[in-house]
Amino acid sequence: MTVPLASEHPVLQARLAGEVSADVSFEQLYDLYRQPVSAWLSLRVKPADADDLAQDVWTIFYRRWQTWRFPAELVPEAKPVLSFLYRTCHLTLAGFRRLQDRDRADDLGRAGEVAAPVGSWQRDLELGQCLTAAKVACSSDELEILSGKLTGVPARAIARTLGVTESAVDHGYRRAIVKIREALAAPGTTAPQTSAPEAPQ
Amino acid sequence: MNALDVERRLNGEWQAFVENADADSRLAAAIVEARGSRTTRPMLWSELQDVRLAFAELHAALDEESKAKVLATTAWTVKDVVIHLASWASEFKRQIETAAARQPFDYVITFTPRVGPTDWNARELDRRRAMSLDAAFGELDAGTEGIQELALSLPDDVLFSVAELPQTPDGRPENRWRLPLANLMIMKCWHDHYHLARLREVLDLPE
Repeated sequence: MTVPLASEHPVLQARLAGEVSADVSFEQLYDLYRQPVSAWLSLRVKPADADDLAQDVWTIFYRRWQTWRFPAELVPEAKPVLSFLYRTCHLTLAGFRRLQDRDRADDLGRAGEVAAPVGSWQRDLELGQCLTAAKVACSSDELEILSGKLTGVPARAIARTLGVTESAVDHGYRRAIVKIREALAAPGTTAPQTSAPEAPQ
Repeated sequence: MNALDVERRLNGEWQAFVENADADSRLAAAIVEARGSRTTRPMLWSELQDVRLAFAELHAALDEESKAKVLATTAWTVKDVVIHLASWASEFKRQIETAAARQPFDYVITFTPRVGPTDWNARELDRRRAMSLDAAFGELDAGTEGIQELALSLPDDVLFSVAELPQTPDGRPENRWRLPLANLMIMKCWHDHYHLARLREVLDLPE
């Protein structure tokens, strides 16, 4: 079950055939995927940071798109651009968190202040019941798996991004569903997850 | 609610969440207008991590010695290309550290336009002839990781300001390259991707 996004395939075909410029096709792909990218980011960081990171992600993609390597045969289900954006969101977010950790350590060193909990400044989102339960009950990687699968990112791309096998992605998805179900059945009993998942290799 | 009900509801909630996501409709045009010139620390870290992960995948795929002996260019084997990238990872890191310390460079690297620094490349490859493939990947990753660390730690006025580097188009010190260190980091990633694409092609690996 995935969000029924329009396909990137016609844009890739037109670009490969030289029917459309790199810049025009970039704007078409932006229109196609700007909301999933913003959703992935805003689920994880506060609004201003999500906006900055979206600019970073789209700029990285813009540069790469200028010299994009097309395979010999374009497969409609492959979604290479969606996969690239998913991976770039993941990596840029990781870079952002590294930077935050450094800044926080510097602040502590200078002022001896107590750092805010990681989740304390996250966006106050209008989430449904299941997504709220997922945010509370699932680990960071399980949330990544959920958001990727729900957007239609191929399992192979999710696995490569997270450095796990495709079966681990499947396993992580099923585990996340179980956790959400348990959280919904007994609200308030599930502690927020902050550690890495127990994804089998 | 059973698992299927949870999946159905989750899917509906996610769809609504994406549809309501607040994404700037003018951002793409702004990026095109700026020719993608924006550079931030998370971007640099992400780009460098991307090549590190790609090299880790490539290393894992070279599970038989014979694969590293395949010719990847007219003159270089796969192993030679990895050594070439390792030599540049170390050189880029050294250049960034030297420029950040405001130290002068006591050498030049002649980088002939459209040809490249052929003499420097050959010399560095020769110096590492006896190196194992694992050691070459080790040098490549250590150099890239070091640059990643510098991308997060250098002060703004060092990372984003123009520095004078050893590369020169004609061997003359007065014509040394002048560019921000952040751009040099991006250039390193571009160079890595250029060779990675060819290595994936000859080894028949996925993009």
